[in-house]
Amino acid sequence: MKKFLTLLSVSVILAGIVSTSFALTAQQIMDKVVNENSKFKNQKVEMKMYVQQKNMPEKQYKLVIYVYNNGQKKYAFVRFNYPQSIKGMSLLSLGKDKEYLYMPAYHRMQRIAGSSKNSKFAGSDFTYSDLSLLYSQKEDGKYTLLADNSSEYVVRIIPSVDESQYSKIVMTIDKSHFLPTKIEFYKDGKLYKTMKNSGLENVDGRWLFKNITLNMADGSSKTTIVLEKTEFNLDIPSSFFSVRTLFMPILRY
Amino acid sequence: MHCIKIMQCIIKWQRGVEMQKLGLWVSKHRWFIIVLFLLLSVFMAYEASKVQVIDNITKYVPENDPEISYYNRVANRFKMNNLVLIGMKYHSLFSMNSLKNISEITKGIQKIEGVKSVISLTNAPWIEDVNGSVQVSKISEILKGRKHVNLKSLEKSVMSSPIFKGQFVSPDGQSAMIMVSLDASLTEKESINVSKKIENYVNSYSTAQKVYYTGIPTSNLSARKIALKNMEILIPLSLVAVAIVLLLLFRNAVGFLLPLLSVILSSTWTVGLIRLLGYTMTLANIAIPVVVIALGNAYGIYVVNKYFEERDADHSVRVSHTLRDIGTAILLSALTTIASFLSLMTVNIDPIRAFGIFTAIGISFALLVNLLFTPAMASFSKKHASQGTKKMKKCNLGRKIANVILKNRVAFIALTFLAIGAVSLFIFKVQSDMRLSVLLGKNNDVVRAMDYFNDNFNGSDFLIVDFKGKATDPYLLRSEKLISMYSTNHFKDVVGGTYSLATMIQEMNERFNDQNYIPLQNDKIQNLWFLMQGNDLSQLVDGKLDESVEQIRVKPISMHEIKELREKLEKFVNAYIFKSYSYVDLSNCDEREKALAERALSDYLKGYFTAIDKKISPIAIKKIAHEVVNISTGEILKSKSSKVSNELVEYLKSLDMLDGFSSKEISTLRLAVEQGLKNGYSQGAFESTLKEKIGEENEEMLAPILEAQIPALVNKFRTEYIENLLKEELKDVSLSASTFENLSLEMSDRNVAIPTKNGKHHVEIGITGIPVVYNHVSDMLMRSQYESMALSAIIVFILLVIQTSSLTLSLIGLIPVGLTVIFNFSVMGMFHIPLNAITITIASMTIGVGVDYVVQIFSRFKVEFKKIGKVHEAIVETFATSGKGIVFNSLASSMGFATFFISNIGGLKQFAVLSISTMVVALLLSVFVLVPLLSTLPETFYRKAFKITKKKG
Repeated sequence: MKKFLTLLSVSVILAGIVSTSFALTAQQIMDKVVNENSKFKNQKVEMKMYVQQKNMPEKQYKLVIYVYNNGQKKYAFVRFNYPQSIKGMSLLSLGKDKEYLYMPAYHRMQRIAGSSKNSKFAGSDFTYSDLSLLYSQKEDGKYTLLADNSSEYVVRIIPSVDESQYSKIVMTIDKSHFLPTKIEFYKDGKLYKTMKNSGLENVDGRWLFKNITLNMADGSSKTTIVLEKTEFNLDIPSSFFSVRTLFMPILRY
Repeated sequence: MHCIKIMQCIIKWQRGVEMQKLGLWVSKHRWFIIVLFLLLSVFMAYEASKVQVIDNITKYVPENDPEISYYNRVANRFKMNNLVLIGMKYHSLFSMNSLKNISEITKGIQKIEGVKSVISLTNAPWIEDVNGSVQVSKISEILKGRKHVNLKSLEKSVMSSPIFKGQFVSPDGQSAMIMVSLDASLTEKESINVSKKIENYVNSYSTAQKVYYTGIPTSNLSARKIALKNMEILIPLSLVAVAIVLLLLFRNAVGFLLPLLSVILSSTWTVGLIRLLGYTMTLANIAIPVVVIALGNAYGIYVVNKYFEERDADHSVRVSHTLRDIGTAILLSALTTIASFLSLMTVNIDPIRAFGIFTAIGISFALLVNLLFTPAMASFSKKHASQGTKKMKKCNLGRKIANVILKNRVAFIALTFLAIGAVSLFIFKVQSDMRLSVLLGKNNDVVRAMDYFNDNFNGSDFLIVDFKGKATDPYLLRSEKLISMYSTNHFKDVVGGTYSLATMIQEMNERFNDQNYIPLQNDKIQNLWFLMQGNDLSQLVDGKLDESVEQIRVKPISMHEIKELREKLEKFVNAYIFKSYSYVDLSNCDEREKALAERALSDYLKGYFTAIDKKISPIAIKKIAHEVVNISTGEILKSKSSKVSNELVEYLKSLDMLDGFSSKEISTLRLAVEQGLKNGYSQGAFESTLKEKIGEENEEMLAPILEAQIPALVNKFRTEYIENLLKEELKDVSLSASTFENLSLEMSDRNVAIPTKNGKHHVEIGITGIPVVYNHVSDMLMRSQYESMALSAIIVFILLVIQTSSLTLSLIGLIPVGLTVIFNFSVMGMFHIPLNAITITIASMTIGVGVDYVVQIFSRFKVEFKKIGKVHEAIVETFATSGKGIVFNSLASSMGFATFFISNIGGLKQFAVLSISTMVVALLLSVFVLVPLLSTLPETFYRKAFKITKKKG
């Protein structure tokens, strides 16, 4: 589950900062993308997730995500509000080995181990590791700048971590906001899936994409995340990120 | 009768003139015929060399057959139609190397084009305990992600998992199984090619000691290899066998070569035509060329024999006289054989129908070749009987035998009937069995692999229980569990294990909530289901969640047991599983609903105990149901308030929520909780008590957790109460601790499914699977056997009437044929030879071949009677002239069929036994029954029948 929380970081990354640089190396570009998008104390994102598999009815989820960031520690809390059958299902990450799952139907909280990086989240096409790339790339990837035109950088990433399921990732980064507009994931040299971001918006002085779409290359499914409401630096105390909150039927913030 | 008269006229006309004309035409155009036939043969041989062998039991019956279409629909939907099972036996399965090898192979197979999904020990959903934490992952991820994996602990967890043990790992912990689903849209040929790629890949990369493959595509691949190998050996060998007999009979090159050449041409044309028409061969019809060789050579023998008898120096005369004298007999003989094989068209099983049609075509080719090509070739020979062989001389031994038989005709008839009557008792033991393992016999890879899976994984095949209804519905899941319990407890020798969504949900519930059961509350199931999202469960649940299946792994040791399993499962389902139902919430229902719930619980308990094969008195069941329905939650809380309070406090401690609390404060909290519960629990009152005792701030922090935990604890103590109740009521019944635990948890649920006519929830349950298909095809085979036999007998009877112009004689002619059929079935019963795709053809063939002897005897007898005018003498002369020809015909055919004995296909060996038995017994019965019966009829009868007005000297 921990890795799911890195999904949250997507929102962070997407909340970009306008910055323009010239003659940057691939490594510097990626550092900039990560660093410029992590400058906040806390964040709340209300989002919808749509999972459309071939010949299947569309699955829709509504969830709210809280992220706490004090530079040293990152906490996250996720609660599902829709569909009704899983309403109240909550996840809490207080760091490595401190992850909790609350199952409302059982009124039980279970300490859980970090989920597999490559596991799919809630039946979507996102794996926990998909959007956490930017955090681990510094150490675990080999970057090459493929293109540098007036509006975009195109960076190729060859993951060096053993457990990565991808053989290659190609990221297109918008130069104006240092936000990834497109990410292509390759498996065994073949395109596996493509993530596209759209709906650029400025929230509290931060740029972010509202719509994130992930299409499987074989056309088997498509996942869309729509950020409905994003707020930064709310007055959320760190105590909010505790197991007690898991049991709360209604969240205060 | 008019039709018969017309046919008689035609035959008479043909016999008298047309066959002779045909002979003249053949001798005139002999070069043209020879060149044409040889050219055609070269072309057909080229086509024959490209013939494909593809076998698939699910394609035996038309796809619109309800049983087949149901199987196809379900199997396609759940990727089980094209399933390849790979068994890998390692020196040490739970070593890092072996596990990584399985993981790599699993991934590698997934990349092969045509593979839809792969599931194995390393990529199946794995629910793991890590230092008291739980995660849903895959073993492959664990292997990748962690440098130090405790393999002993992993082995222990895997071997205690109902999902993995027996399913992906053999119960002895030595072998792993990989299940590969091929794309359902692949043709049989493509499936076989994908199977081949999988085998090549695994064989190249596996570090296992031994690897075994089973499943429809791999079995088909093996069957194809076996079939092709058999055809390569059996066809030349049958030709050699026939050649030996021909050499013995004719002792000259022409006599030996021409009949042999005729069957080479006929069988080549037949196989070539199969390919030209776009058909493929199956295990059921690879015998076609050998049957054509074995049966078709007779016509060559008759033609060459007769040609040598002709004394004229002019080849045209010899050819025309040959065809004039025996052309009609050969035509009739071939027609009866063709008709008998065509009768297999009534069998609604494609390969058997194809066998009937193409063998009939093969016999027609043999007839054509021997009426045109053989005489054309023979016409170049100047040999006469006196020059090369003594066969044409009338046989004195034949005369002697005939005299003995005629002298003791009553004894022969009586003894024969008695003998056949005695052995016929075995007919009732004949069973149909279409299993590939039975058809192939023991000495081959397919059966060895099946044995491996049966021994190591308790089964090599699957029954599929199909549930149409919401897959995550709690009662439906419990029904899956009941069916699993019933099949594993009642059919221990046949059922190796079951796998369903219910198994997964129960395992998840145990790991996450320490509750080894399937809850009947939808929200609980949904919580568990949510955690499973993202795992590939497509072999169990349809994506829309409106259909699911339970896989019951079976050892197909006996089709009878599989049939019984299916029938009893259906009965169990009909008796104990509600098809339309609603839920009643016991904590919020009226008295009428309570009564309904009580009855439904009684029914459920009856089903539960039937499933685990325990007999419980109805009174005990009723009492348990009554008590369960009427438990009061309030009373439980009151009586257990102290325990509940202690547990809640301990829980808060485990969450580090009481870290800043002193012992005194904790004690106060404990008492406050106890008091809050004793007074009769209500949220408001409980919170007030807490506020009063531990302060507002603490209450605000702890109350949500405490309140969330109370229902869980109530449930826990309710379960304890029910477990005690069950132990008291069922003290005389031997039940395991886990059964008590499981049943107590199930009974502690406050939701109860009650049957209702127009319930909100519905489930339709059906049973299918390859073993079911085998049984279905076997049943069809049995029914078809009667139909094809009857049709064959009718056609043969009509042909006999045409030949003899007498109903009486035709009926007499059918007697030895009928007795041969009875004898053959008796042999099948006696030696446990099942009726299968190969042996089903025997009965029709018996009629066709058996009647050949009758036709030959009638034909010669008619000639001799017309000459001599006396029955006894005419029979003796018939024996003297045709006896040896018939015997050698029987011998040559038997030799041809005998080559099947060296085949490693069990079904072909059985076919050899039965076909040789047919050739020999039909001959013996024609001699010992037909001849004595013919002798009982007076000369006046024959004169009338043969339209002889004047007695000839």
